[in-house]
Amino acid sequence: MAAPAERRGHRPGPRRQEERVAYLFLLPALAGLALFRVYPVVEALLGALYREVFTSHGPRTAFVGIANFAALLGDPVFWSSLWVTLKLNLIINPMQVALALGLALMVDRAARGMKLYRLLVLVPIGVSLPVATLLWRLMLDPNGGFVNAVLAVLGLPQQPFYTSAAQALWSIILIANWKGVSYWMVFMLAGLQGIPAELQEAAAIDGAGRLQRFARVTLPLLRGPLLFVLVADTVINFVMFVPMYLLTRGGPSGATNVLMYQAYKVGFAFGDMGQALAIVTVLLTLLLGVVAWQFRLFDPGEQRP
Amino acid sequence: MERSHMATIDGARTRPPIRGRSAASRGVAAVGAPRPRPGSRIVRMAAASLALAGLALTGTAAAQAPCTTTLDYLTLSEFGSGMQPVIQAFEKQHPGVCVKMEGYSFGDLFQTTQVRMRAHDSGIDVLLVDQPVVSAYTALGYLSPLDGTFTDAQLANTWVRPAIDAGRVNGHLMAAPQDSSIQLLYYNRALFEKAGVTPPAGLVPGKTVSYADIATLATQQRWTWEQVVGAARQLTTRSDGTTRTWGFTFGQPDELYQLQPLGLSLGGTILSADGTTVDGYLNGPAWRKAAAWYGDLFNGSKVSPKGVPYPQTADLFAEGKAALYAGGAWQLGKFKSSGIDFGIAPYPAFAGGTVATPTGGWYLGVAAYSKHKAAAAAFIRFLTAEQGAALWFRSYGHFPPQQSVLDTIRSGKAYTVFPDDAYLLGVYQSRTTAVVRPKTPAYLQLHNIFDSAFSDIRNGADPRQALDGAVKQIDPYLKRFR
Repeated sequence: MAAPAERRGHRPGPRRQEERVAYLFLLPALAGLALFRVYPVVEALLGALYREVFTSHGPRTAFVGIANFAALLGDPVFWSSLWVTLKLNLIINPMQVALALGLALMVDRAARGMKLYRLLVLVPIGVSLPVATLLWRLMLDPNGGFVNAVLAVLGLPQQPFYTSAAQALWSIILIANWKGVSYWMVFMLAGLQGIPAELQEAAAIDGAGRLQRFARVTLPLLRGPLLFVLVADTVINFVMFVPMYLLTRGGPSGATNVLMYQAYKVGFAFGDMGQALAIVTVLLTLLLGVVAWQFRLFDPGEQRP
Repeated sequence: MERSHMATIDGARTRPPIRGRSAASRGVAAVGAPRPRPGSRIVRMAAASLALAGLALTGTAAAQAPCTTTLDYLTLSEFGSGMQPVIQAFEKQHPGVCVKMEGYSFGDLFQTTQVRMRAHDSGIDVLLVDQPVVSAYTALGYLSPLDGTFTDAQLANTWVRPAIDAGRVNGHLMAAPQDSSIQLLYYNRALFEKAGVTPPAGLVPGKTVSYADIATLATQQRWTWEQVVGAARQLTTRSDGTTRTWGFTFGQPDELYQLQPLGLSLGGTILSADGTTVDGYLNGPAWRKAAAWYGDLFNGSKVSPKGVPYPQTADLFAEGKAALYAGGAWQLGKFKSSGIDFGIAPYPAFAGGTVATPTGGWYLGVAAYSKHKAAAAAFIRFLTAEQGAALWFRSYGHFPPQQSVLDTIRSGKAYTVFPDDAYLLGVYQSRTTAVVRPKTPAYLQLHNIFDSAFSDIRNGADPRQALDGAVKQIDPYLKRFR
């Protein structure tokens, strides 16, 4: 028989050759992944084990083991920063997914003026986050900004917004929602439009109400887009930096000092790169844990009775 | 002859300048006629085509000496247009050497320096260094010593003693003083008159003053911070729940440079004498009192605006929306051209307290990884100790650290009339009440944490808690640098 004879002779079969070609094509992508994804992570992990020490001959990098991580344990600013990061993400991620889904459901219908409505909803996608932050900085300006002017007209008290420890995080959530929700909505909308209309019709004929159709048909079939949006949104929000940098500088009183901003501050304002990389490592570990948990949550195997 | 070319952050030229447009207004400014640095072929081709376009547009570049060395000067964007006469004079004196300015905002300059010097960027030749970070940048290895750059006579006679001492670390001159600074209390005379409030005694248009008058003004008629708040309360106007005129604003509302005199005036210091701790000092009784007074400006008396950072605070005063402004002499030109009717009083102190006024300034150092160290040192010498110093003072108006320029102010008639008599007040302050910021290798951390604490107090945080929090953050760094 031909096939065993070929195997004995170690001649590459067509399948093996195909695999080789496939790997060859994959090589640039894999090299890119290694260079741009794996290498920085390894670099950060290793960098977190070093610290600059200052001698009379100038600075020297010294191996300090886990000293940078140990220093974090005793640093109240780090713990407060960790809490702010978790608080922000516990609020913003479910909120953005729910709002994106809600918007997608509103947009996914044929009605008069829907094209204009869709266009308006999509406008924030075209605005970059720094521009959105500066725009909202003016709108939320506590000294006579647009929002406070509206509140004054309505006879409501003036608000301090991003200059107050109580409202700063919410101001950032508002900006991030304005900028982000319509973007995530696009994925939800694609998912909604991918659900065959017959399924909805069949459910309706079987007597399912609107709510039941949403819970039993729409949501289960949206699992893919929902998982993608939840994971991607979580990743983006865990490393959110721009509004903190441009609007609040992590304040007031550390109210918006997320780990990402704290790492930046320690690394680039204080010049303590080892400590900054330790913070980044903690953030990365936390993020991986949360994303892994989200994948489990949406694993179909877990859902079966 | 126009020799400027706009540059991107990384130094690649993009297009020639628009004539008559201020370099400062362009954000990142480039002065001189830089030769493109080695880069990708595309960048070089693009730069070459744009240079050709520039030639066609200006028709003047053919007369220029070619740049054999291009110095990259990392600096403040606001220095852009003011520095041009200095650079042009330097380039004329040093044919073949061109200077390209890379300008950043005050806040971004420190971080850009950190990021690029940590990466051993050989593209930077001259560093603009804030006086108190000279020792930190030396410890971090960012600066190359200026040993041999100046003659012994220049070292002995060029600058006032404290200025040159602040540039020395372990016996080596690491950076040379470009500027010093003074702070003044500006007041809007029209707003005072409108509110029926008596303004502070000060320098006003139409009055000639002598050095003796200045001394009397500074010793006998200086307003207290209590008087400032008292007047500011009457000068703050509100309607429809919005403040229309603010009674008072600091120029740099949460900067250690501006606020240090508050604690000092009440008998405190930021740092222990041996420089090892801030515990018991920054959170001691004097600073607690100063911080409470400061917090009241924004949250109790509400005479100062929250959320208006430097340099927008100067716009408030220039637009007549703030009645009193405590800020640098470098704003004189802006206020003069704004057309507002203003006067200038000495920087206040607390009633019965020590008079302390902010000072300190920008220094120039040779970047450690520069490939043109000799040319960079020559530029630094020209700007800080030679012809460039007077040119720079005339062009930009930063208070000078050079003896010769100070002598011109002390004896010049122009400095006895408003508003340049402010510099005469500056000479008096610099000789009697000026206090520099703490000298510690941990200054970068110290000032960042100090600024954040005061920013928090401004936004309503409890002053005592904010100071205690700052102390907990600063002390570990002081210990590490010990």
